[in-house]
Amino acid sequence: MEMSGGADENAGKRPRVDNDDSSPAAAAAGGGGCSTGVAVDGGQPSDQEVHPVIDWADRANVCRLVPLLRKIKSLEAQTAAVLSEMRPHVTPTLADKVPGLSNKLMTVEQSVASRHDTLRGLIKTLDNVAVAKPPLPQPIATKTLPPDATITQLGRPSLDDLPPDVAHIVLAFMPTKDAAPLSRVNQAMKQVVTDDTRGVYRHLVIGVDEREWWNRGIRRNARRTLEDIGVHGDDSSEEDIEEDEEEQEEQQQEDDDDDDEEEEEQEEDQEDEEEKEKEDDSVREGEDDSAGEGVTGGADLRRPSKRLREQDALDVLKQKLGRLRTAHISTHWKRLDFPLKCIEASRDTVRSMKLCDDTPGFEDYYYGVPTSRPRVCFSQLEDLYVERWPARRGFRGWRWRFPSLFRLRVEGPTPWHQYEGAKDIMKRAPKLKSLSVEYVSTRDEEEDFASLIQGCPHLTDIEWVHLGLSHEFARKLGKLKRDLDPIWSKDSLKDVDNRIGLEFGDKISVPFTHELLHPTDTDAMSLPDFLNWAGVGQLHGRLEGR
Amino acid sequence: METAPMETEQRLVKLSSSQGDVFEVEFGTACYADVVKQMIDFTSESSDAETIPLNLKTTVLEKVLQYCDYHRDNEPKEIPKPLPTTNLGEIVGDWDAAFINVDDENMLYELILAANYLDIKPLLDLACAKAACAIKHMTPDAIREHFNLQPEQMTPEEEQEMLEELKWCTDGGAA
Repeated sequence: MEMSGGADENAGKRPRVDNDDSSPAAAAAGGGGCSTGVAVDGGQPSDQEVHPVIDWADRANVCRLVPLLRKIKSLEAQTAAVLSEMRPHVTPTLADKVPGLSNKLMTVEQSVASRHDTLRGLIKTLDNVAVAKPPLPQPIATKTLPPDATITQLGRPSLDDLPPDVAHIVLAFMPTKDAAPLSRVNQAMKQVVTDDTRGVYRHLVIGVDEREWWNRGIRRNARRTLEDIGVHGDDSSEEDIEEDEEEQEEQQQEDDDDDDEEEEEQEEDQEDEEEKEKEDDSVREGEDDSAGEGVTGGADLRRPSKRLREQDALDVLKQKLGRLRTAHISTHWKRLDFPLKCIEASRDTVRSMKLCDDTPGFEDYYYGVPTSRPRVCFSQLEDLYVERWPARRGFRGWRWRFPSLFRLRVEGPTPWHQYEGAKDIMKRAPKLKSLSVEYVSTRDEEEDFASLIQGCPHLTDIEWVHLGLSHEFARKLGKLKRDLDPIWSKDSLKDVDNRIGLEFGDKISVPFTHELLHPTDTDAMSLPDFLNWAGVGQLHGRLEGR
Repeated sequence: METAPMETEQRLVKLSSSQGDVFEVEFGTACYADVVKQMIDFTSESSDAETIPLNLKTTVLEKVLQYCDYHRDNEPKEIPKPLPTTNLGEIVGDWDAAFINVDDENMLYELILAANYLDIKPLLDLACAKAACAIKHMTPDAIREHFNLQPEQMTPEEEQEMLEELKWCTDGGAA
């Protein structure tokens, strides 16, 4: 607040705090040369910096206080204006004759200015208060219940009291191997767990850290007897225990191997296959060889029977898991043999699959699957999300077919892996409508994009098509249009909303702007023309970029 | 401080528990539950001062309102299925993890039912995820004991059959 008049020796020392025209000092300043112009303490800078936190319950009080303070402040400004009107009438002679007149008026002026500034500071402070979050609501009243009223109590709810819809939500957060045993809790839980549409045997869920369990733990469990489990007393022989310990050691060793080089994984994989083949042989032999050859005694007699038990138990489980509706694998899915068998057995029921791969780095090894594996046609599968689809032959997935697939999303460690994976799957997915890949190339030399989409005449939703560097934009757009024209210009798709996501690998810099808008290359297409063609021309659709 | 929005926010709604306790909460907090909003819309046509009766115990309603009040300004995180870890704090954040870390397990299940009743999906997911974490590593026997559930009466043959069916997922030394 700037003060005028020569009587104020403190003028200019107090920091300016606002430009409020209604301030008493401003009013006094307009009143002539007798203004006291005294600096007052109201509205210190600290008032503006402090943001008090008030209680939730006081919010309404603040709302009521602020207008009242403004009203008082306005009255103070009016008082100051009246005081300034008085000043011309206090002549020096009058002041001489009436002792204290001038001093007392000055005191009044100072008081008014002080109150005004104080009020202004208060208003600013209240305007800036923060409101604390309300405390936990407390009951404000307790109704008097009629004498015959009965308080509805929910009782003591428990796991098996949950409505089936809710119980299924609980189960959905659990992997299959943890949810399935709940059927033993009681009949209510059994009904939920084994529900024919939403139960755990219709939705295979494998968590991130379950690879070893599904590869080895499940087999180990399956070949036990109930006595081995210890349900009716632990009758496990020393040899059984030793075998289990050996297996645990093997498992530990394999866990350690997970961190090793890919070559070691490959070797381990081959060993697994060999071991599996041996075990299969044993199972086949065991059926009519239970008497053994009379050489190795009881251990040999028992081993085939254990493997038979394993096979029987897994066969039963495979039947249960052979009508899956969804499959969600969060770990290295390609190396889960039994779950993949269950998924393949569900070829006519599975509608959605999410196959994730949490292995770090690259992978490019051979999966060693016999070439005689039969084709698997997933007749109902509509949604497929897959990570790290193998690009090399030999993987069982190369025998898979997806005649009903609508939506495909492929991810991989590199754009090349994603692209090759998508290309491979799309060859077997003639009804595909939506494709999502991190990077779809439009390389001229290999005609990749054209070959990618040519087998999918219903494809109307594509992301992300990489357009390369900025100087290539127009040419790539032209190629993109030529590639899409055979599909998107069809009469049958004219009323369909198309969508294409474009990936810009570079900024559209000034030197190329003209080329982008007015390409000279006959094969090129300007961005506006492309937008027109893709979005508002003869086609309906959306175009997105990133 | 704007007064107009504050007036809107300040509209208070009275909700009563099944035990007769009445809570006065802000409109925005109450309306976090769609069911309550619909009830408010319905009752406000007849009377402004009417209290909305909810079939929830006082302690449960109090807890639900705490959740609604916090999340009306803080969008809850989506919880992945299956849970990647049983440490909920890593998934849903500290506030939600602390909120759902109730001492009394009955409260957890009452919260599940309340969230289902009031159609508050994020709370339902949070409470169900907590329940899943709690039972994930428990054997059926342990669950029965924990919840004081009575096992079904089965013949020895039926029991054997069930155990045989489930031995594939029976880890450790107990079924």
